[in-house]
Amino acid sequence: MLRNFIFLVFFMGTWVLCSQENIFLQRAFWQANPTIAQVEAAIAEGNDITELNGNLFDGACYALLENVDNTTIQHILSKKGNGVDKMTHDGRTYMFWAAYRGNLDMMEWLVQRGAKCDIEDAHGNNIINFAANAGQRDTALYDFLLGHGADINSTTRSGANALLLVSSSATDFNILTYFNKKGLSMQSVDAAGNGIFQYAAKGGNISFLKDLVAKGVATNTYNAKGENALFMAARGTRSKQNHKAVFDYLMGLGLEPDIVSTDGSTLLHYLSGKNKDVALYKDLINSGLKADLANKEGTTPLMMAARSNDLAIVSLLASHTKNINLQDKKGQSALTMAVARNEPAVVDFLLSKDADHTVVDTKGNTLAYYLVQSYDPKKPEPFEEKLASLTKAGVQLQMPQHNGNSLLHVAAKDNNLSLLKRLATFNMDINQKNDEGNTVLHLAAMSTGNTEVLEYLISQGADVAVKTEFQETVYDLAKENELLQGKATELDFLKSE
Amino acid sequence: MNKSYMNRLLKGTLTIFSLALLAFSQAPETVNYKCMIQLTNYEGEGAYVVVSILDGDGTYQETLYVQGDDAEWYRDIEQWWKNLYGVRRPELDGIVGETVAGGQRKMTVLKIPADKIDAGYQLRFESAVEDQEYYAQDIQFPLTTENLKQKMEGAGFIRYIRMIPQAQ
Repeated sequence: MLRNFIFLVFFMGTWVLCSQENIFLQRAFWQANPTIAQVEAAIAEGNDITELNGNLFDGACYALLENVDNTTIQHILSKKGNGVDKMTHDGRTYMFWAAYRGNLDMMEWLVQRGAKCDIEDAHGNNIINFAANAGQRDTALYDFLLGHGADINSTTRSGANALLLVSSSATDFNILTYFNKKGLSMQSVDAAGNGIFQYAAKGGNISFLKDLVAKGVATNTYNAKGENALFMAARGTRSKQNHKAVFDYLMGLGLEPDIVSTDGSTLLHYLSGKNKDVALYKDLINSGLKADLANKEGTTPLMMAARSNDLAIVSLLASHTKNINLQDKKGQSALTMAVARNEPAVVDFLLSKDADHTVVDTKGNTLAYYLVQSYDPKKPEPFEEKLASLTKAGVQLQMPQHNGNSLLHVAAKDNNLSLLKRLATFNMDINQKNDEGNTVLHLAAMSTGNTEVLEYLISQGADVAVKTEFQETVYDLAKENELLQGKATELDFLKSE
Repeated sequence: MNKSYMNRLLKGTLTIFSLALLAFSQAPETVNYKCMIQLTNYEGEGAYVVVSILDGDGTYQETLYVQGDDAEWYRDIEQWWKNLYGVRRPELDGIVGETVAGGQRKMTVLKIPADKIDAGYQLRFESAVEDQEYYAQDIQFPLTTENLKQKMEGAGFIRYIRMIPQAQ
């Protein structure tokens, strides 16, 4: 009996897991390099091999990104709904992801089935530039793209061509010489005036930088924003931040660290979001850079660190900041950003330094708004910890937010039932109207794809009789909601008489 | 009365007169309409919407409202970008609002120049969603007093719009 019960719990547990999470949208599945048989078994279990997640990635994208065997990938791409023109994340076809990973065999396979090489993604990158920016240095890959209609002269929206982009990952001159022979000038600059040396500084390969210097490439130049190559080194790449040694090398060439760009930013602004090299910060602060300098957006290095960096960097920058309560042009302070994006420890640290917990942004949102925006039902612990700290500091959850919304309105707009349930214990008026005359139930009726959230709100006392300022009832709003169409009879419970 | 005093008086009068003229030509009389934009319940990011006045030949005259505050995505509103924003970068201060998600609605106030109503102009609502379609004419209709009272159905991400004239 007990054994049966345990089996039942186990069985239901896996069933619930499957029904919620499509296994093909989990990267771990692809990291294990599944065989065709394993993919088919997962399909037989009800997983959808064509489904796109919220960021518009599907199983095939992940298979390409995780370097799954091409035989398996080809099998997946032969499924109806995974065609060569399918639009995925940022408007990219499978060709982009194959090129991103340097998977020339798959690129050839895709082109044989009609995939195009002369297209751009939603950010204006053609496939050559996308591959170059990803660090691909296989000339056969570029030969193939150029032979199938890709334009070597295409640039990104920042005006960078493939020669500049690949300079961030180049280790020698081979790939640059290749692009040069295909028609790109070694003197290329992007729209802001950054050349090869700046892009190489971004990648931070010191021996390659030395090679460039030996070739006589200009090092101490300024772009249109008044920035030198140190700024590109401070940006780093998507996958890599540069260590102090790179900056030391560049400063050794005479590059000045204490420059303020035309948008009011210093090296610290570019570093503080991601770079974790404490010694580098100390060095720059010693050479006169200000940890609390606001750029034209009103953003300080402390704010950027509070949003997404480690406590060590936040506390270092805070110790060099006179006023940790500065707000940017959106009215967000360092604490706002930590509440919205960072770990509870960073929130606690800022509160311990007397960060103002009553901060309100320019739209009228308090810290409570940013806190509920960060709620993740799959990982509630950080939310609960931040909630405890903020409540202790005196943050009121009942205060109205932007547009007169309560936190319940904010949750209902996002159709977030688990958040609505979490907020139920805080005694908020469920029938309060926002500045546009809408109740929580109105917003839920507009957003939801099922009646569950509406039934829940009514069970909590939400009034179905309240009308919008256009005299619409809750029933009217639900009836015109496309996601609820075909469920007309199920909506009868919303009628007030 | 000496001559320099006369000159100064004349100059002063002229300045006031020309300032008044400038003020008049820069800020034509507008009629305020409260505008509710109701989106369809599509899946995806918040829709970018641009409301413009076009003349009879379809040439952009003026931008009344931009829903979406990240200029990086303005290119997605293709025709407005190609013909107006991408070329001239007009000042958008005060007419930009944040996006709302599918199924939600947005209230805004459109300041419509009185001399463009019932004068052969069109009101256009363009819309686009990240990684999805672009609708050059999600809604477009002749800018007439009569039309401004109607509920107008959209063809794309906009389900419909409603407008109410505001007390001046």
